[in-house]
Amino acid sequence: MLRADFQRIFSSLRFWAAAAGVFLATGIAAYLQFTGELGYTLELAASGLPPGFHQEVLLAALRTPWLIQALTLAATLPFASSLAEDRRDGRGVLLATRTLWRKYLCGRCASIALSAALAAILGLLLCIGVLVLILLPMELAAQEAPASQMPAVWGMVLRAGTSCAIFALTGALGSMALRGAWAAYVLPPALWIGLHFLCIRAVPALFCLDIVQWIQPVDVWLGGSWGVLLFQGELLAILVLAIYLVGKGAFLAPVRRASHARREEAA
Amino acid sequence: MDEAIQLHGLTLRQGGRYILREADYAFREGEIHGIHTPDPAAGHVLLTALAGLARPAAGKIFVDYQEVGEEIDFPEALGIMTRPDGLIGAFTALDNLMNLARIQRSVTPRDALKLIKALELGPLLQVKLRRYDPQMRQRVSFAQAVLESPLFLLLEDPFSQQEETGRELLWRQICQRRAQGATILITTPRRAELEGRTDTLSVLDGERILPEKEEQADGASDQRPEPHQDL
Repeated sequence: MLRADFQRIFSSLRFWAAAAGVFLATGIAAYLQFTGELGYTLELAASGLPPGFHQEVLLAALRTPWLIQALTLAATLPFASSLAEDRRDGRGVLLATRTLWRKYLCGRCASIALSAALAAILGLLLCIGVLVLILLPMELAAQEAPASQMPAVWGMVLRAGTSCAIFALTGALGSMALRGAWAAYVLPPALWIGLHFLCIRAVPALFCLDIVQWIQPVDVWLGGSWGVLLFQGELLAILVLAIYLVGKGAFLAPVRRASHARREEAA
Repeated sequence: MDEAIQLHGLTLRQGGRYILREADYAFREGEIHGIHTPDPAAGHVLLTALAGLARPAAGKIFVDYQEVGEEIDFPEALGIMTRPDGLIGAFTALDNLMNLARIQRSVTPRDALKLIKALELGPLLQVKLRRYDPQMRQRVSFAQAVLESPLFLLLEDPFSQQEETGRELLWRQICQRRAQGATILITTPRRAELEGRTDTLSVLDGERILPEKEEQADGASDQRPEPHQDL
């Protein structure tokens, strides 16, 4: 099932558009951090950058709140609407009858989560590679090698991937509950960005539901970064369970629009 | 002969109206059963319910003596062709078939290719499905239904886009599947497509399913096209 899904995902424009979107957004965030918060200009950079500067730019870019909010949009593009589309286009009939409900829905959840995580990680890694290629040659040689911040960068990339898996599954759950593919694209940004602002403005105690905290945890997380991953793992499990419970009922409910279209066709 | 599919007090509803109301019916094993459905949506709802993909309002469906939705999610060895067809437009016919075949891993690319050629889709092998005309696309939809040589074959309006040659081609395939022991249900709003071709013919109209011309079961064998031998 996963292999069949990934053949479809990799040949779809939406997956590559999501990866390209993450790449571009990260590049723009890095440039804005470079010229804004870090206070550099291109002329200044030409005269040499401090050692380890590329790592500072990467960390600053990945901390940008709007970049993390943009991930909620990019995550939904590759495959989040696939369950609703399967139901609408009749593909669910072909797939589900060749396996079992449990296997079909769990396989689809895995494809949705993995495709979103892969698109985000691919876009981020490509941008990191380009930034390193541009900035590293401009850095001056150091007397003492600065402490590497790359482990922190890789941790943020990993957590961005797991966050995107959560956003995509939220969209898939919404599209099944509301019986429309549109919900897969609208619900994750509305819910998770809404929760982000709720956490910073009204209820700081809910910091564990703040998406910016997932990528760049600043409050006290039990277990630090591992605690974030554990929490995200629990959220993923809850979402898969909810999709399993909602999905079967949604598939068994009649698709009214399609049958109306058929009646009109026959008339 | 055994009853392959049994409906016990089956009630099906669609959009607030009844498709079937407390229907008791049975379809014998290894035969072609034609169901004339003046309302095409009724055929769709009936077939998806038999496949375990629509929940009956009341009653039970038994396929191979197992209750669908209770004892089993879906009947085993089931092939179904519905509308919309669920195929991927960005793939070729072979890619579409192999994409589905990977789930059960029971069909090789060679088998799929043989089926494509038998349905006279060979010249379109490199063409993406979105460029197919409706007739050819419907044949691919038929191909996915018969791909894994199912024992139960449910076909929703399989000839709607076919010209005469296409219809004969599909009938040959259908007869060949019957010869292999499959139980086949065909629904269509055009009764003429079924007459003289099926072992039984019934009509699904006015919330009931009624047998029509039951003697056709005897006469049909004389008019059946010969199964295609080269497959």
